[in-house]
Amino acid sequence: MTVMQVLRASAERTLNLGLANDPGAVQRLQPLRGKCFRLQAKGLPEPVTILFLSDRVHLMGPDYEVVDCAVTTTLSDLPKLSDTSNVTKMLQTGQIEIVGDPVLAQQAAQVFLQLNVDWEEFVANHLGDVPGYLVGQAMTKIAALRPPKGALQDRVQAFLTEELRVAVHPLEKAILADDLRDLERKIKQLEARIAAREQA
Amino acid sequence: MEKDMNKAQDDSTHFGFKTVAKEQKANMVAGVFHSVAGKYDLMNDVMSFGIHRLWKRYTIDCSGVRPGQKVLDLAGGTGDLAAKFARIVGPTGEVVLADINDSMLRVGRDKLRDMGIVGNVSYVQADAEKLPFEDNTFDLITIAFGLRNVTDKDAALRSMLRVLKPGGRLLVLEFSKPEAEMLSKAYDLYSFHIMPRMGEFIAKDKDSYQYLAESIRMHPDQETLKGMMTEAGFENVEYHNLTGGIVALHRGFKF
Repeated sequence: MTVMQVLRASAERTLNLGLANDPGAVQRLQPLRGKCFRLQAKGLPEPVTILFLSDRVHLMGPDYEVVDCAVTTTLSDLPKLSDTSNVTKMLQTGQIEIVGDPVLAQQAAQVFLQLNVDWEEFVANHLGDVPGYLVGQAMTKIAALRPPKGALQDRVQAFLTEELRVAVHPLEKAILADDLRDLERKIKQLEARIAAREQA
Repeated sequence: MEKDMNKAQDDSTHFGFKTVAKEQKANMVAGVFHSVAGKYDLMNDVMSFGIHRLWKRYTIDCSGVRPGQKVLDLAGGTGDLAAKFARIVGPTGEVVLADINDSMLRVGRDKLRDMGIVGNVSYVQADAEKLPFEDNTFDLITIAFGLRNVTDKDAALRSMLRVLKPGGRLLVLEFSKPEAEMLSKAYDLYSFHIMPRMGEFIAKDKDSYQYLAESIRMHPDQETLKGMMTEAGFENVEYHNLTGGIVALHRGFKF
């Protein structure tokens, strides 16, 4: 129990550090104030129980009994929950079970998924304005280098089909399919003429 | 003769390993806490290796406290539990930090104010045996590392039951009896030989920490305290040993 409590205390400290340095966190926490959310992921040694306060969270132990919303899923299905369009399908297939207010589960997820730490401010508070400014600049450059969602997939696809040519371009595949259908049609016609000649 | 001896026993109590008159104990305990108040938090961290924070976390886990509720943190000392409860109950709830010792109460009040916790916390100097609150006032009462310093524990438990609302719960976090013999011996060695020296080195107060070790030994063990709570009128009383029984959390309800 002691190890889990140490882990929980450390995780709580880290989360609250992140929330304290996210200018939008208080606004996202507002509708959850005083609510308790529990995530039971099969594979984790104990459920994660989060009590939301006005400007921070408190990670409660499994003995805390007053929970407003409990979500049960598996560790492998957990990343799929970040896309809200998956939730309905997962509920229908039984991959996820929700007891309580489902809106609360979504709001709870948004608190952490939309976490946007102001690194410049964070570093400036601890090390001074100059290191803070430099870190802020570096973070901006890294963010600019990072391709938008879906762009990475497009680039990999173009590289494989056009540069390395280890994969066929979708257009080439479509042309080949058309050619094959045409050839098939011609073979059938030829077979029909041969059959007609044999009968004659 | 026998009657006189019984009367003497009724009028006496323990102060560590010493037997003192009941009316003396409160003043003697007050002396200890006036002396250690300034360095209480530091000494707690050093002597428990920070584990007291985990014991208090577990107490909060077992509290079931909700926004809007009214909590009494009795013998609340420097306000570790009160600070957490104040955040959980929010502006619609209330936390009363009560302690018999004004030095401890002052340290606790300053600490909470420095943490920005104001508005829903009030501070009351109160004797646990005669709580100055109306019947059925609190949803939760906690007393962490305080009950062993109370002269008449049965009276204190009855007083807590009186001010607790029906459905409310009492949590007693207190040093207790280690479950394993080996741990018990190691703990004795630590508390009687190392702890007073640490007290002398850090807080310049060996006697107070000698009293602390002795008062832990004189405190009722897990089953005895459970019996006392049941006797006082609490229901569904149960306890959970922490760190091998060095500390136990007792929980009882008023229905």
